[in-house]
Amino acid sequence: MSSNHAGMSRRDFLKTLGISGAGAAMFAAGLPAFASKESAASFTPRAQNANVTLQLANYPYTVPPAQAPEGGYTAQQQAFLAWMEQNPNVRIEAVEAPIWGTGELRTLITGGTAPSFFHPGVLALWTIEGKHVVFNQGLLADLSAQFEEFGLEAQFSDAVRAAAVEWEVGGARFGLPEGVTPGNGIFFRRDIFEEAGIEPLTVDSTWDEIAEKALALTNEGRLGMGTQWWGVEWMLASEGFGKAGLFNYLPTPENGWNWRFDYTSNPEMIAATERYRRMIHQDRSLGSNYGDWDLLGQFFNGTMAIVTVPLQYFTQTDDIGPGALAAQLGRPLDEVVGAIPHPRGSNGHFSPEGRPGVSVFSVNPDYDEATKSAAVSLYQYMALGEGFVTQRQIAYEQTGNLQRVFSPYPFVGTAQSIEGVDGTPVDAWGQQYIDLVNYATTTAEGYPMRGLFFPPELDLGPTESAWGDATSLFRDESGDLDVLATYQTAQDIRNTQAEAFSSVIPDDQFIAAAQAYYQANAEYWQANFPDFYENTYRPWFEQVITPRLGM
Amino acid sequence: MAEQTLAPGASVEESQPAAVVEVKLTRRSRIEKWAFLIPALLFQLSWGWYPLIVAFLLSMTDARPRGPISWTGFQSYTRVWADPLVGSAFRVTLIYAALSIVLTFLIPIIVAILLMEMKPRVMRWMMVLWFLPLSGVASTIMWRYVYNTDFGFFQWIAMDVLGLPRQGFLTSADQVLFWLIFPGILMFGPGLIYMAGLQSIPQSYYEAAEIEGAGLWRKIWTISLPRLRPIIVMMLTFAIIGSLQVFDWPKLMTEGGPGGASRTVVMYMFDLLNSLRYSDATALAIFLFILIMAITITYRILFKEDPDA
Repeated sequence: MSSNHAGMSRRDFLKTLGISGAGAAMFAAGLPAFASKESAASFTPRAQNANVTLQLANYPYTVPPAQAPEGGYTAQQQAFLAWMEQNPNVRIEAVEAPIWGTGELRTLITGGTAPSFFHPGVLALWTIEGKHVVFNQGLLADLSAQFEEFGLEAQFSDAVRAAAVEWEVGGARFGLPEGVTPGNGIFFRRDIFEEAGIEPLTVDSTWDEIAEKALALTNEGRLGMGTQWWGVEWMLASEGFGKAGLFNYLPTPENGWNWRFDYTSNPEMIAATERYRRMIHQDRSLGSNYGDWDLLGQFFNGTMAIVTVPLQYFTQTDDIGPGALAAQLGRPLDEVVGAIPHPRGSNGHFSPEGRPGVSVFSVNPDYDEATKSAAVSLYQYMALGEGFVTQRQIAYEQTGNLQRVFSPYPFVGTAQSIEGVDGTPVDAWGQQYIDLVNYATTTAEGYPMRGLFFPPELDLGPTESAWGDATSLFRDESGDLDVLATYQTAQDIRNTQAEAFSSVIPDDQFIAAAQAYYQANAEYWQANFPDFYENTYRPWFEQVITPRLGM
Repeated sequence: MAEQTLAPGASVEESQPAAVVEVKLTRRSRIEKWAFLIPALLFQLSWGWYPLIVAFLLSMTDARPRGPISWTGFQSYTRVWADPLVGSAFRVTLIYAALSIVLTFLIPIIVAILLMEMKPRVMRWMMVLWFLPLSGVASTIMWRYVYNTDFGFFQWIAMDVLGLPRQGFLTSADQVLFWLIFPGILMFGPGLIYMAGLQSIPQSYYEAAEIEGAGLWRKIWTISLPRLRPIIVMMLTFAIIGSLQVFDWPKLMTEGGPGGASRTVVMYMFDLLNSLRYSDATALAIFLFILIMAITITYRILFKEDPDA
């Protein structure tokens, strides 16, 4: 991806304009770009001899101002300054760039004026497949060489490695993990359960049990349960269905587009959907029109007793996090907030939503190798290396609060304790949460993620609009609704749309990838969930998949 | 036909019909004319025709943000044409446009005429109430609360005041388009422009009509509406184009739901762009352009003759 143009291309010209504009903006704002300082400090590896410039649009790190602000630099800024001292040949610029708008970010990249770091999800509908496609379209830098250079993978925690599909495709690396959640899960108010005389939820709880308890907990001032506007996906994923469900994607190599959609062959999918609708429209025990933060707020206020949230929220230290709730009630965290992963399906399937998820950021695709190395060096220092430790130590010195040190937790790196900090993650968050992290990580180990087996396409194929139409009807339409017919409509539309697309993957390559993918599935389910393998996966594979792949 | 040079300060003889006089401009006048015209022409070419031509060309490629682009002919048009959601988006858009024009274009005409019949003091108060300045986003947030099916104001009216069963409002596929348009009625749409037009009609017309014994309806039919005709024709053109291109309000209020019942063509175009399908999105834009052009031309032909001219 290096730019080796002899003259000034249109892109370089735009880039120059962008840089000049950003520089002028910084000057006007009294935020001069940091001139690097000579330093003899040693740090390996680093971008030692590269005279390069990194431009940060306040993400993922805030560029420290030249003069220490009132109250001093933040812990992150102090770590950043230390990295700058160690890398005197890297110039850091703070720029203004609209990196959180899809169209804007695409324009920045295609115009050659993108900053160093941005979130690939912004470009790609926040989906894994989307990230793979935009990488294939050249919108994200290939960081494979830098992963090797800095030995990154060895420094990642198990949870991050279990979510490799988020930053890797076809053997290439395109993302730098910045945060990790031990899967999506469920919080419940132990104190409210206790008051109502209801047994708390456990790792073995089923969706039916949760529905029953949500109904029992519902009263005039409280909803038994709250979930996101896409909440039906959670219940479907437990059974192996949904937007990216194992059973909903059928390989069809003989067609132009290699996948067909099946939403109507599985009665469990209809049953899970009807339970979701019953909870919303009949029991009125489920609210399903919320965002993550709304749910956390309602949970904090006690107006929802059970909520579906990313489990990482357990370690949020803001005003509405579980820690703040326990402090407000004056009780230990373990007595107030319970957390479980999403239940397994009625068929014994483990929900892929329960596996760890990783948030990554990507690097400007126009960068040459030296600049990419500088970018990854900064990342390595701040997220995995000395800078990371420094930030935690400062947080501990300033607050003496272990929850501040281990937030968010789990860490991206392998280190699970901090030198100079007298305490562990268990001390900060309790054994319950650490058990959850371990459960998610060990259960997801070897989970076959589709994106790791198939080469990326150049197109995303049919939009998800038809699927979204069906799920929005399930959520919103309170009258009689034929669930099967609704799924049939979505299936017909998506399959009609798929007929108009062509894959860039040759058939033999696709078939080989599909065989490897289903073989990996067989091994994973047999080893971890043998009942599901014998009763559900193997029969389905033999009847549905084998003929399609000519196996 | 003889040409006549019009020197600065000179005048054309009154006896000569204006239609047959051809004025030869001086060099300076021609430069001035072009100096005024060129910025507008450049603007129109840059922001009107150039994007249109580029969009048309892009729609015939496999355009992607980066990398080589290849010519694909009408492939995108075929794909978009075969997409079942495109047909449903056009259906939703046409229903939305028809409802929108009936409810937010015609009603304000009637209301504006009736307002003009009121006492000036009452009229001023009515206008203050109607033209309460509200930002678009603030309105959206307010209306979402009003329509909330659990604790919204309208649900309270429906269930507690009117004794109706629970209503779906924006969550009902059958009702969603009406309730999306409903705030437009209250915001009076282009009513202010009609009122300005009505105020420019000489009062003597109405007085003369009253002396002749004309009632309210007669005055409206023979004076108000004909005098408003040029404004109505122009505003209706804008209303047709605007309603066929609607995006922001349904996007913010419903995201096209439930079940795609409020997904308009431009919203689907947005979905395609987000899915990195640039050529398909531009092909859809061309289809929409053709539809709008066809409707606008038909409408202009139908309303070409001005009976008062």
